[in-house]
Amino acid sequence: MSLAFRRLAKVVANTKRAPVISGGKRGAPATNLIGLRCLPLDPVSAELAQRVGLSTPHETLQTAVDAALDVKEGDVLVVGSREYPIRACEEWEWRGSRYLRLVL
Amino acid sequence: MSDRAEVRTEFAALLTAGLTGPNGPAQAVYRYRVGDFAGQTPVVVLGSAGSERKRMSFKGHHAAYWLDLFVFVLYNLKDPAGAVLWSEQQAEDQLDQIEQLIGLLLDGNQTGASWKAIDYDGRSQIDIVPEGGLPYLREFIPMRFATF
Repeated sequence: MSLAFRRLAKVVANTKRAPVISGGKRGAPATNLIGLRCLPLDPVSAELAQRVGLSTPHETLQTAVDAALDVKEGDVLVVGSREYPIRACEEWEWRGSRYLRLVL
Repeated sequence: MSDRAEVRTEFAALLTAGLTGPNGPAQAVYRYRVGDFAGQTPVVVLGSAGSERKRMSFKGHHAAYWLDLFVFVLYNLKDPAGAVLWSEQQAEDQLDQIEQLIGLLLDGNQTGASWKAIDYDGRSQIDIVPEGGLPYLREFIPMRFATF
């Protein structure tokens, strides 16, 4: 992680991950990573988005974390008391260091 | 006057009893359009979809309620090395099993405390949708409840 990115990544977050599938079922997610640092959560668009599955509305946000972290699509990012499903996880390179752009 | 929420709550309780628990195939039943189910599978969601209140007399009407039933089954899952943890075939089989159990629940509960008849409102439809970053098989089952 670059020094510049480290300075910008001021938000402290945890992640949750659903357990492995057992007996055809997968239960509620449990805490996976604690105390990771990410960029402030910024809106992707001024418009509300709709989930494809149930047409429920949500605000789409984005942030970024160090690419070395074990974060993937389907995890949940926890910031304070709010939980955000990680809808997309893309690896980007910026000024010689790699980070993950998370779409929430 | 009858209440659509009563019908939805009662039918959701039937689904919970029939589909979840140690012997049921579903992980969770939600009686509302839940904002996110955080990677759980299989998930059943029941939401209100409309009403019709036909006037039968000056003082009364005949109410029918439509509910949308959704079944979500994780479509596939691989570990970071690419090994299959949950396959498309398993997902398809599980969706079919849950659909059959829902049919049996309907057959066994044609009347309830808050409805007089229950039926499908047309054929169900299946597609694949993203949910919280994961692909899910989704079956949409439209249902109609008569209360008179």
